[in-house]
Amino acid sequence: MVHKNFDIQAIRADFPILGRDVGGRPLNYLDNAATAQKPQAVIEALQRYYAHENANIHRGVHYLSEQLTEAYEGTRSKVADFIGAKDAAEVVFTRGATESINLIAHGFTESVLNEGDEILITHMEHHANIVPWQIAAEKTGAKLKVVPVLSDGSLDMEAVPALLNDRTRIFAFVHTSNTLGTINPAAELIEMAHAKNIPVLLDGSQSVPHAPVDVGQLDCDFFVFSGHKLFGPTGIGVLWGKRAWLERLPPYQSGGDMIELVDFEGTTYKGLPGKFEAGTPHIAGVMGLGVAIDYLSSLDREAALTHEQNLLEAATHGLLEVPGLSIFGTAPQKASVLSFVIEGLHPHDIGTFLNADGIAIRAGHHCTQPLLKAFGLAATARASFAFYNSMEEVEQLIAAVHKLRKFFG
Amino acid sequence: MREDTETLRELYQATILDHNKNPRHYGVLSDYTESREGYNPLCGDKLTFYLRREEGEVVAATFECAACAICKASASMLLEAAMHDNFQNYSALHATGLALLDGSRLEASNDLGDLSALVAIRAFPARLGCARLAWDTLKPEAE
Repeated sequence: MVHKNFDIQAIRADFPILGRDVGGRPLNYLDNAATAQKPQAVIEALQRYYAHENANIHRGVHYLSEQLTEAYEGTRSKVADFIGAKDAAEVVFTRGATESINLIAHGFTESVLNEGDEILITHMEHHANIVPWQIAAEKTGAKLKVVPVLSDGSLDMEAVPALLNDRTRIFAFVHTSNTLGTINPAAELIEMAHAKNIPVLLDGSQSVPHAPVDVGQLDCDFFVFSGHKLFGPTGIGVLWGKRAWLERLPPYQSGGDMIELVDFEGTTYKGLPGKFEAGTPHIAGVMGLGVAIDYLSSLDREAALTHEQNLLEAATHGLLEVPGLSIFGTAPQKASVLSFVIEGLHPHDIGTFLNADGIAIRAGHHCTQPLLKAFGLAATARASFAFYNSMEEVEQLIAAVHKLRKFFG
Repeated sequence: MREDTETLRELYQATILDHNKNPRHYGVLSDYTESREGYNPLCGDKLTFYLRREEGEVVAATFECAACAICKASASMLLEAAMHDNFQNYSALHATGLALLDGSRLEASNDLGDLSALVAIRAFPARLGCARLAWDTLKPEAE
């Protein structure tokens, strides 16, 4: 049942794009795992920033700069609170989860990894949590190890203990899979890694939009996510890391704002988090992200999650009635992401057909080629639901998939 | 019938659906002398052409793919047209195929046979890459 306080129509009205048409049909946006839509409040925050607040931060003595520096640092604290981090200085603003992971992989390349060391990831990682580690391995002579995935799309937990050994220097894994929807048992995996003193990077890109995350409770060492999947602007993301780790890793980029003192004889760097924020940051993005977090915090998140799970359940049941359709990713713990294939029908053709009805889904490899390859697939169709999607939209999806099945015979 | 379904029917017109279901020259050529692989990194579609040459002449050609209906049909139509004269006029055929896809040749005509179906894809710019994969993979240098 939908929570009584969860007024879907009122929530939809907060997102201007949900009122638009696509080719004469109302937009039915089911591509939320690729990027989420933005509430009016976030759009207004960007407008307000450029119209009324613009200045540079951390270096002005004038009114605008002082005000903005306070708001920027205030957002850092807001992000820390949002993910359950105690120390705002452990929050670093980046361009997105991809840059956050690159920053850590770069730091490990410089300061941690040696020949013969091992980096552990899983078979369900996004390319963003594979390629930076492959490069780190190439540069250092470390080896990339992979935890297998079971046929239902859950992680092979029995394989984990042997893969966490005395050569493992980091375990980097996805909290919620963007392709399968699988929610990994993060706390359990972190405990297993910590029992052997192995730090953990948790990719929360797909978990934070669906449910609250508490890094303090999870006790991971690094946590990353992107603003644009969290109903915020593109080009802004977060890296949270435990202070001891962030202090150990070297700067990722260098230049202005990250220095303490520059001299041709040598330069000293700022402490955290300035050390990792070279140059003028994406201030507008930070302001927008802060408002996106305010918006999410104003919702009854438990009700939002229940609503998403209801959408997922209805879509799963409805689509399974389509002849020849199978769902890829049926782990018991799943976020509202639904990958499917239809026998004899390519996902691209499914995507084009649904698009004619105004339904936006993703068709392709979802930046998880090794995962799809393991299942003998090149692509899937994927519908991913956010709290602002309605049951009517799910019903429309099911009807359209039935229709396309008939169309292609 | 609704207008959007009508547009889709044009895209997946009988010709394309037919070539998708019953692709011509499909499968691995057992004694091929060369092969060409095409790959679309955006969607993961893969395509391989197999050619057998005897004294420089293409005497047989096949293809295999893991791809969408449009990509598969496009490759099937390409080979069907090219094998009419064993690749004798492949440069001209290739230019015609690309012209149909990019719109520089506006009208299809009867003498183009099934290839005419390619013009329907112009209305779906997002799918142009699917239709082009075969043509980009088997360039005239392969003659």
